[in-house]
Amino acid sequence: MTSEALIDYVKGLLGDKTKWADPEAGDNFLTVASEDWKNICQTLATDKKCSLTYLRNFTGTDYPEDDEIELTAHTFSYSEKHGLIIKTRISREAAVCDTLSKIWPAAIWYEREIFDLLGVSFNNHPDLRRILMPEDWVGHPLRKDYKQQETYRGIPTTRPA
Amino acid sequence: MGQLAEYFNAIGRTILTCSDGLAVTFSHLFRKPITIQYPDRTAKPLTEMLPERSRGILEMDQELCTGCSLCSKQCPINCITIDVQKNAETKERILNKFVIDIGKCMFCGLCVEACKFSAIRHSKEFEGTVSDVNRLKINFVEQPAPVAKPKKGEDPVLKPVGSIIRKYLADQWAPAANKSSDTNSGGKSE
Amino acid sequence: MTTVIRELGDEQRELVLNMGPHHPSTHGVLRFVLHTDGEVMRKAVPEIGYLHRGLEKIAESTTYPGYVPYTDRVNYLEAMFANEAFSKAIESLSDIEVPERAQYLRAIAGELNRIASHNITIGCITMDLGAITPFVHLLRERETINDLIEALCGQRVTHHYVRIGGVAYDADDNWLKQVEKFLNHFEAIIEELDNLIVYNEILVKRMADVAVITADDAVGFGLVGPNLRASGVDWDLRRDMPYGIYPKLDFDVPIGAGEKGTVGDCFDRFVVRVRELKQSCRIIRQCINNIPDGDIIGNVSRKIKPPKGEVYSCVEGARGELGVYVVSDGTEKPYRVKWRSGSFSAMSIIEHISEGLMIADLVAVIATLDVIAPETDR
Repeated sequence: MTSEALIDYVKGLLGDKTKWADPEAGDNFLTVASEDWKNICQTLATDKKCSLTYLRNFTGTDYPEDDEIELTAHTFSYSEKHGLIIKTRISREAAVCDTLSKIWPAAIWYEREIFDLLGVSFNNHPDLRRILMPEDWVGHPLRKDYKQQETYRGIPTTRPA
Repeated sequence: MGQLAEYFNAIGRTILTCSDGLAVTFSHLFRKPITIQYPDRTAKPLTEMLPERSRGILEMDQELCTGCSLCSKQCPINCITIDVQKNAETKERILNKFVIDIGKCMFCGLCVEACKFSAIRHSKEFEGTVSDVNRLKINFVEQPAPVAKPKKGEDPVLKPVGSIIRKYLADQWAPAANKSSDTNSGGKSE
Repeated sequence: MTTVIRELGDEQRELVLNMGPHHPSTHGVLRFVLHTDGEVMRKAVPEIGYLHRGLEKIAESTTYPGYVPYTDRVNYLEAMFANEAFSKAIESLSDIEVPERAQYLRAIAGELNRIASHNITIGCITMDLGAITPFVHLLRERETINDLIEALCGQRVTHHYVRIGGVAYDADDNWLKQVEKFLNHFEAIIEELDNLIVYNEILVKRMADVAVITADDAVGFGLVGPNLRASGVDWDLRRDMPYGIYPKLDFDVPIGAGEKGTVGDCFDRFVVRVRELKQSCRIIRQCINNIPDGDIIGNVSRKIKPPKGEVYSCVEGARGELGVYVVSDGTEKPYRVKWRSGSFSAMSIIEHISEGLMIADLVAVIATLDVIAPETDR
């Protein structure tokens, strides 16, 4: 499907649960409420006409001024050759979301990375622990208000001048 | 029976395919070797054989630098520190310090592209081992002097590539370099 | 190596074995925790992060042109593709047009880089499985490519050649002739490679039917590039979502056919890469024959400020889709950059496919999945 046809089809499929963005530049995306997050992803991944079976990229962005973290899933369908960007927003303090790892196994590691770098935890995730940073690291580096700890296990984290 | 036949077939295939591979290896006996013995058993020094665009350790010509700081603004990792002060009496801008931290530099060439006066450029030197990381901070200003004021339309007089940095490298690694040449000459006399 | 024997109850025990982080066959600093029962693995859990350099955090404090040299460091074997992916993202965000000659040069340099990267991969696969000669042969060819690329852009590994809006340096006819000369020589080497190692019975037996990845698993875990194609999924970004000059070029996409065993086994992943070498040569030849004259860089101001928005841009690198997700807030610095790398997803499937494998086969799996530690850790 072309991207316009896909957008129309998804609008018909999901009804008023979706919000479409009209950005100044770049890609179009679809924003859903975090409660519907898992169900909508499930629907879009399994629907015959969408068949978005490939989770291309899954990441988060921190927006401190909105007090929210935005999760972005880039999905794609090899058979239909179309892609869709699905987004949701969750609050920064209680950063919890449903896991997508049952739908796309690739999400297991992507969610671990989001947990590690942005501090979002995922319900029912099979193996939620830090992936890139050490287990006992303090803080989540990709949050905008992150301050690097001065020493890690007695080792300074910056080069002495 | 079938399994046994497959077993011996596999052995046969192994011998055949391995000898195919060995034939290729054998043919290399009659080809020209491309290996060059280390260190640099070449007709010319290796730095002279590198291509024109090769990006080695940075060097700065004090006679050409206008102290405009364009290079340090372009540098993504801030490895260039420039100190320019205005002389209160003569109103001249004096270049006090021009330090490049080669230990930080990632040889991307953005500073060279930013410089309009060809003052900073890549040499072809690439060997820069030191025992202390702070020795890699090289100050290219020997005596604080007024900055260059190039006239429009005048081509800058460029020094040979590498002639500036080579001196600093020799300074930086002087003890080690002397020692090795001493042992070399000692070895010859014996 | 430390070992622990874990009691699982019902007189069941397993040996927990640590492999890495410094192990000759883990291709960089990468650790595996192996849960084994005798010589057979229950599972192998990859532990990554030893090479985390915070490339995504660094992006928040550099300018757009200043971040391009950092992209060289995403993967030390395919700097050209990372340069291109990031440049492409910024180009599509701020509507910069790339001149045709620059697109041709990007394709030539990219395919040379792909050959160099595949040379290392194929060499490493054979070396990890015990044959050292092919590695040396292929490294010799890579050396020539590195020399060519150094003559083009001045660096052998961290190229910083593809820039936002075009490429940094033009190639003269002499350089193009040298590339052609190299191709003439290299195509003979590819033929030779078949005899030298590809169909060697010992190597085939080590790889055929080992660690089969089905097409569904490959798509589900997000495998890309040669790993995906080896599982029988006919997908190549260069052909199916064309960018740059690729729509004008004619080339085949090799896919895994189960030549010596099952579709998606280690041998397919190996042989797909060998076949890709030839296609890359074909692409370069076409580029050299058709390259037009003209500018090499578009109209780009020194300060790049893309409008507010976001973009996901990807190119077909040597390890498949190398994507970058850039969020711009309208300032000189990116708000968020995220790298999507082939090695990351390839690494995530290892835990799933390792059940029932022999410990020695894990080496074949790591090598044929072509996992590069810096790319997973970023």
